[in-house]
This record gives sequence, C-alpha cells and structure tokens, in this order.
Amino acid sequence: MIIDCKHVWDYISDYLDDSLLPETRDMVQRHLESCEICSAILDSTRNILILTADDRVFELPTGFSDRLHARLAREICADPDGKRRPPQT
Amino acid sequence: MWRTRAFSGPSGISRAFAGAKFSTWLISITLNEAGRQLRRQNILRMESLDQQPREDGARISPALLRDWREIPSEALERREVSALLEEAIDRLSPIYREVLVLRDIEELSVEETSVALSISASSVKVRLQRARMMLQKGLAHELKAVTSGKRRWFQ
Repeated sequence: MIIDCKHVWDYISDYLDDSLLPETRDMVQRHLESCEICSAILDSTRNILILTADDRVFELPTGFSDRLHARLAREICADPDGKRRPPQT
Repeated sequence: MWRTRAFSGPSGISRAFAGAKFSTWLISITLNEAGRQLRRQNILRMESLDQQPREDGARISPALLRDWREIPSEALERREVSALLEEAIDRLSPIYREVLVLRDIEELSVEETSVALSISASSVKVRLQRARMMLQKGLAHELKAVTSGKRRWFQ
C-alpha cells in the first residue's frame, strides 16, 4: 500500500517513538526512503526533540537543587507527622 | 506548599494511582496545584469552551525543508537557540505543552503521562503528535536562520 506525504506526517510522532504497528511502520519506512521532503521533516522533528530534551535548554538556576532540598527538609522537620496545614502563600 | 495537599487528598487518589510510580503521582499533584494557584491569582487566561483545541482538527502541515540530518548539539551553545525553543514551547496551548513537557522533557512514558494528566493514552499520542508538529513548524525555519552557516547542521 502506498501512502501520501500528509498521512506520513500523522505518523511521524509515533514513528519516532517506535510505537507504530509493524505493517504501518514498514509502510512509513518505505515512503521515507523515497521521499526527501518527509525524511527531512522526520529529521528536523527528531533534532528539535533532541534539542528540547537537552538539559542545557531548561537549565535550573545555580543552587536550585540545594535550596529545594533544604526547603523540603525544613518543611518535613516542621511537620513531621504530615498533618494538614493551611497552604503557605 | 503542595506537600500538605499531596498527602491529604481523599483515599480515592491512592486508588487512581495504584500501580503508578510515585513521581507520576507527584507530577499530577504538582500540575493540579499549579493550576489551582494560577486560577486563584487570575494569571491563567481561561479558554472559552468554543475555542477548545480540537484533537481531530485540521492537520498541521510541517515546515518543508531539506537535509536536516545532523544533530545540532553545538547550536545549543548559542543562547538564542535555547531561547527560541523555550518561546516555541511557551506558545503551545496548555494541553499540548503539558504533554510535550512530560513526554519529551521529563521523559515519562505514554502510560505515565496518561495517568499524570488523567487523559487516555490515545489522547496523549494525538496531543503529542500535534505538539511535535507545531514545534517543527514553528522552529524549523527559525532555527535554520539562526544557525545559517553551520554547515554541519544543514548540509
């Protein structure tokens, strides 16, 4: 079965996650092998996701992790039995 | 702090999250609490029911471009690239942004995302597909412009 580009675009996300059914994946694969446009869309989408997942994009401020743990420890010490208190604002 | 709420919910919570990882539960609570705080502060712009993004709506046409095969790792050295990514993710509607963040940044599985957001696994997949295509559409040309001259990236 032959599918057109627009249908391939619908499958790109699941193709990247390798969650397509085998026959669908093969069909998409065959299209990608012969279609430069769709394989460029696949590559660009994959690259954008790699960039997005890179820790340097959403870097935590220096010392954030230490401050978070210190704050959590303080909260837990102040309320060791986990009873409900009014939320702090 | 959300901690107080996290451990004080109705017992139904423990049933809803039975078998889920603690982090999934925590993310779900954090999202709900963040949403609650935003609503209280009137920061969150409410979306009209008439304008709810449709999951079966018009197809998103990705940006057409050729030869984008190399992983542009060095491009991240440039602040403007990460700024572009952040802006593009901010521009997504909340329902797409939350799925993208949980799947592609927090690296939760489809099932974990589905539990954390209380939506079906197929909704996770549909929203993720649209979110990724919107990012591709919004970013492909911008990134290409920013990194022009980076031969290793665009041959």
